[in-house]
Amino acid sequence: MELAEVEAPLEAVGGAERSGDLALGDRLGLGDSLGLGDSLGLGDSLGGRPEPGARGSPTLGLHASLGHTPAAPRPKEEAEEEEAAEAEADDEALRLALAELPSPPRPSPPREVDGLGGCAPVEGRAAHSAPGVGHGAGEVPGGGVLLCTVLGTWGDPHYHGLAGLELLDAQGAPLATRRDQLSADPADLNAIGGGGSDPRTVDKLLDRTRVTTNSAHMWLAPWQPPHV
Amino acid sequence: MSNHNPKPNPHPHPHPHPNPNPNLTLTLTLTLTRQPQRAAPCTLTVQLPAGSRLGGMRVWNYNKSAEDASRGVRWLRVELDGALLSPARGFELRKAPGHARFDFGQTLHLHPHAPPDEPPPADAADAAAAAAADAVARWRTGRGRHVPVAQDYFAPVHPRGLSVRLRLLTSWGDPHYLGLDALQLFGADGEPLRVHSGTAPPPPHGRADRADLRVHATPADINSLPGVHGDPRTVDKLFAPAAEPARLPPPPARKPPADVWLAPWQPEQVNELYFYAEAPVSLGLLRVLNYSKSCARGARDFELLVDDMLVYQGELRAAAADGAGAAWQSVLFTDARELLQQEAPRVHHAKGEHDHVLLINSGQVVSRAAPSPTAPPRAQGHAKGAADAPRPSTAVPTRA
Repeated sequence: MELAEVEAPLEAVGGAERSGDLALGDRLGLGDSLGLGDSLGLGDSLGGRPEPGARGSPTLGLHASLGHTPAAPRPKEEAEEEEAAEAEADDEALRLALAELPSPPRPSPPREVDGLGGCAPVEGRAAHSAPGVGHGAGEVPGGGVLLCTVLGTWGDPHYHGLAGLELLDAQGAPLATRRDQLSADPADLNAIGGGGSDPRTVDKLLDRTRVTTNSAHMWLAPWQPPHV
Repeated sequence: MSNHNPKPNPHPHPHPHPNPNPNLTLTLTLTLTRQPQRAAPCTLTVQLPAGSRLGGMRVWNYNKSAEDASRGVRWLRVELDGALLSPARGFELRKAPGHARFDFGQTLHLHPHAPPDEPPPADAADAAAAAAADAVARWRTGRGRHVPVAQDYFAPVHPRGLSVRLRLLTSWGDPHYLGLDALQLFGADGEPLRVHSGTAPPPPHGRADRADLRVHATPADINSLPGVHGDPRTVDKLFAPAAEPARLPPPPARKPPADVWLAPWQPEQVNELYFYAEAPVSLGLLRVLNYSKSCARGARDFELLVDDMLVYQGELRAAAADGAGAAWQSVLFTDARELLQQEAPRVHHAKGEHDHVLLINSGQVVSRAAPSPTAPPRAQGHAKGAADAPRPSTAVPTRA
């Protein structure tokens, strides 16, 4: 949050050149919105980014889904390094291709106030003073279902994972979480075959071994970029 | 379309000419059918008792190895009963280091974010993130902003990330030890980035938006050597006293010899300072004071990586042997005119000192640069033989 002012000049420099990259970013936003069944609405994912983009262009949509539909089957977990590099190269090619396409005019995003029907009203929407965990009460959110959506990885096009997860209460103290409270979709690598023997299941997020390089204490699941 | 199969394809493409081709549509359809589009995004769900109050989350990213860390989650959107508790594009999670030498957990503060159909402050951070990522992408292709001062490296402006790695590759000749006297890091706004060396998360303080870093040194310090205990030259000394804003000059006096950092080193080894943050920071300026008690133990060649991407590669000046004042060296990641003018005299451009350069314009010699006669050979080659000798002991008087 503190970077908002600082980076403002950068944003200004972006200008029209950014349309290509934005198109990729938009792809994420669009895919999510579709996946969530409009609970957020199409325009919502793009809110606050007024630059002209390629949203809604069927041409771009086609390119994007082609670019991200893996031509080859998902590689085996242990031997995908080359594939990953290729996929990255494809990504780069896609980015370049998109950058060269003219940006079609884009209608202003619809203001879907009603589209947020599923969202509980949020108190104190001015989120400028985020209370740090453990000091100050402020706006501590309460609820029953915590939904975490993975919108991107650090580069791997096929898998995503975590080594540990811990919920903190309003005072910043760890909140006891049981295995049966936690679920993932897709659950783990056993969801895509492999004989059900891969140990990297989602319950490993809750075991106390987090600072490790032993993947038997981690969770790994297939990942696919959200499609347009 | 494999080129590796030496046998001719028994079923050549029936329509090699670019005429209207009904098979094209068929192929597309097949591809899409075989790879069904995933309707739902990848999610993690925690069922909590109704009305549970949540202050935050701690996450440890996927850390099987340095390579597999790319499978870690980068963007994570968090919602509680449908209300957004993260920026719309998600929290940015730090990539895991690929080793388990320190607790790389990251604390995410959950608080209501305005839904993205209202342009709120939260989305300004989103836009800044997008702009920063875009600026780096353009810098990599040579079209983005760069620092308009000659340095050892064509550095980007305000590299932004969750981790900063300072890799110290060689010493100025000593084959056993490598150290620094002081380090100052500044954000894009010229304000100092506070550095904590403890393993605990940074303590909360007045300004929740002020960036904090933690640091882990590998190796930690010379107390990691067998038989060495209680040497005061630990990594926390690098950041004391706390830096003033960048517009003020650095302290002119040398530091006491116990208030510095020294670690064991040997040729081919890389000593690393790993800075990590809970939320992305932008880097505007780095100031370094090289090890001065014995100049040969100062760091020489170094690299700087932000989120594992190289943003600088160059040389640190050796400290002066005599009793002169502190010789700070600046590494610039800014194009702010005032800061450039102030810091440019402290920039070290090693290329000019070690290479023969003759600049000629219209037949006139414009400048001539020859290797400095005082420049010693590269530390690694120099140190090869000496590294086999036993490591001498080192100590400083501890202050009362």
